[in-house]
Amino acid sequence: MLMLVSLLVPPARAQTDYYNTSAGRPLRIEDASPVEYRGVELDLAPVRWEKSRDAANRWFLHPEVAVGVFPRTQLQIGVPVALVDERSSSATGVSGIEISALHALNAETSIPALALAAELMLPVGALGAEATYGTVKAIMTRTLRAARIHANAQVTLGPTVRDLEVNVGGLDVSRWLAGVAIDRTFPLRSFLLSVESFVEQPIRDGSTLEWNAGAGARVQLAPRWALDGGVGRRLTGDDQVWYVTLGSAYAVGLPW
Amino acid sequence: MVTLMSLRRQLTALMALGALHVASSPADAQWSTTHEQFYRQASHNWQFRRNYPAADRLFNAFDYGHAILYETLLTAPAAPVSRLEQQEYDFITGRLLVKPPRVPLEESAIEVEYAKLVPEAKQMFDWAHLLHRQVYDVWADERLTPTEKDAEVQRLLRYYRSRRDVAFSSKPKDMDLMEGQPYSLAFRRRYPKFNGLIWAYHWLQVGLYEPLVTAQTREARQAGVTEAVARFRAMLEQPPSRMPKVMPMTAAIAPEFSRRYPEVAIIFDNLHSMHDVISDVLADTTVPRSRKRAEILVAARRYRDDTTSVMTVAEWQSMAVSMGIGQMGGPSVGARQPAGQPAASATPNAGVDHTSHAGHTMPAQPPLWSAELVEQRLRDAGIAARPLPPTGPHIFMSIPARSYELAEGDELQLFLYPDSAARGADTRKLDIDRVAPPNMMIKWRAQPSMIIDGNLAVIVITNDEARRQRVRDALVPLGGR
Repeated sequence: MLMLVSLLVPPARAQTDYYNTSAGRPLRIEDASPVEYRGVELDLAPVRWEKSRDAANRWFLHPEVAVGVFPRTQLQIGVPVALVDERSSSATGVSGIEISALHALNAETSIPALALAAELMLPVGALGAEATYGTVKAIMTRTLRAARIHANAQVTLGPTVRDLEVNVGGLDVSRWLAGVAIDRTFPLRSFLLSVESFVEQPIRDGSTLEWNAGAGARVQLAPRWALDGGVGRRLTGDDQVWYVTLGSAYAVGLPW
Repeated sequence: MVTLMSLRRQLTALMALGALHVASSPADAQWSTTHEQFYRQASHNWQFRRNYPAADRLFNAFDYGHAILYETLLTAPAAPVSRLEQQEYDFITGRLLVKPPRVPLEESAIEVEYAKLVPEAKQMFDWAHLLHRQVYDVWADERLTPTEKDAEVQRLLRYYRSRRDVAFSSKPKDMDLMEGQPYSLAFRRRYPKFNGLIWAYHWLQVGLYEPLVTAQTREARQAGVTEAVARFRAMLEQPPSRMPKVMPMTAAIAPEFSRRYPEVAIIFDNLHSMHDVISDVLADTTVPRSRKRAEILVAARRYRDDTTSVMTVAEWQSMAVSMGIGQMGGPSVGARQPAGQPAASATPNAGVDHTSHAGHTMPAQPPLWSAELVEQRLRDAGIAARPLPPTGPHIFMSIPARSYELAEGDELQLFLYPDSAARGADTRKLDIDRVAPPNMMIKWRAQPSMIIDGNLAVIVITNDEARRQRVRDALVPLGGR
């Protein structure tokens, strides 16, 4: 069972500015904005906690760094660590290495902001997967005066998990995923509220579609420092968990 | 297989949603690839925030003022003047500047539509504002020696210029870019108080450099910054009487800073000038919404290149002096000149033309024009004249004009003096046929002509000769009826 922990780890993408969301910080659906060119963003201790129906607790620590390596392009590396605590067993360990890139195709005008992202999850660590998984994603952001709307669609390449002994279900690395998030900004407070809904097809063989809903917030605490938190629920599927996220990001620039 | 079909349906729906939105957007939609860039990483980052928190937080509030201005002008062109002149002004001065935000604001969340209209121009401002803040940081960092500060400012300048796509030119630009365009002055004429607020912002933004650069000790720098902030706040009292009457120029407000870093000072003047230009483009109702992006991009290119409307550094310095520091809000440090008071060179030379009364044995009071009389004459002649909001000083007359909008956007500018001598002191300096001082090139939006009588001077700006003649007929000399 534990070999699948890496597939449970929700992908995250650093974003220090409270206004621009990223996957996992706090919600799964993100906007089409990369880290600014020459920016370095450190997510040192973002935490996600999941509580499933069978009383299993899963903790994920997801340190990562993102760098604006080119204009409109970020590169990110993350090393997720998982703690799975179930009735009969528990384990802690690295659950893979994530390498991802996001490239914004344009700046939003009357045309929505569009971006493409790609991610590799390498089978590294005691709780890592047994194979490499690759994900490609399309992102669109439309900003209106009342709200900001993001649409994501992604597909993952890699072997289907067929281990029938696995009882965790609800894999966050899905065969595909599509969803929408809506942000409401309070600019004078540097505060953002978000809600999302997305549907995903788990990568495990024989699993059913899973619908998810969540809500979160981001706030700018200091020019370099943003804090985020969120709560969500997997509404359908085999593993209907509640989850809570809490994280912060710190920004610096490239030193040269 | 089922999952792939589901995925395809999802993606198709997503693309259709996007395509539908694009198709419903204005036809001038543009593909923009402008991008953000992080400020230069250095040990002095955020030192100004650390050492001068009160002043630093004011800049966060300034972000809101600029953003809400552009958003309002763009999205509510038919809104009453009071929307900006009262509601927003009162909110900004009564609440926001009293308790400014603790962090720099995300302007995209305030100027939503403007940011989408011209993200390229927004990036120009953001990039220049970063330079502003980083130069403050350098001079607020007490660990650096003056020599090290000079070197660091030069590094910042090189970093700034590395973004040729968004960097303002460091060549000074003449006033033609700001005041000689068809849309020029549209904003300040309609919104004199908010314009004064923006100029007060710009005054402080450049004025703060002077105490940082000239003071010799940490305590003196603190005192100088505190004094500059106090002068800024005083400008907001009794608006717009104490606000800058002309755009504050760095060479006048921060002369030592400008001498030390002329290229940086010029960049800031070009930045502030383009702020005004965009306000004019957005405020000018003769520029339709569909053309605003194009007009702004043209202006932005002119402010970035090193060739358009360039003048010499000496001319730039001379212009700053001749416009009068008093008109710009006064110096930020040192002896205080009352804000808003005209410079000596601009003071009306009243009481000179006594010869016009020669031969009068009895000093009878000659009849005088009044605004009411002028308006009555125009009404009697069937000429529609809608009063326009008051503006600041005229570009070449010594007193402000009362402006009226005539039909088809034509304009009448009325100048009423205490007596004919005062009027004569002004009009004698003009080339009446050109309606301009002999050595000044002015681009009028339409053909100007001047009517002079006693204490009255009127400039009629129209290409309709019949209308011009009707105004002349209406304003026949007082002794002529």
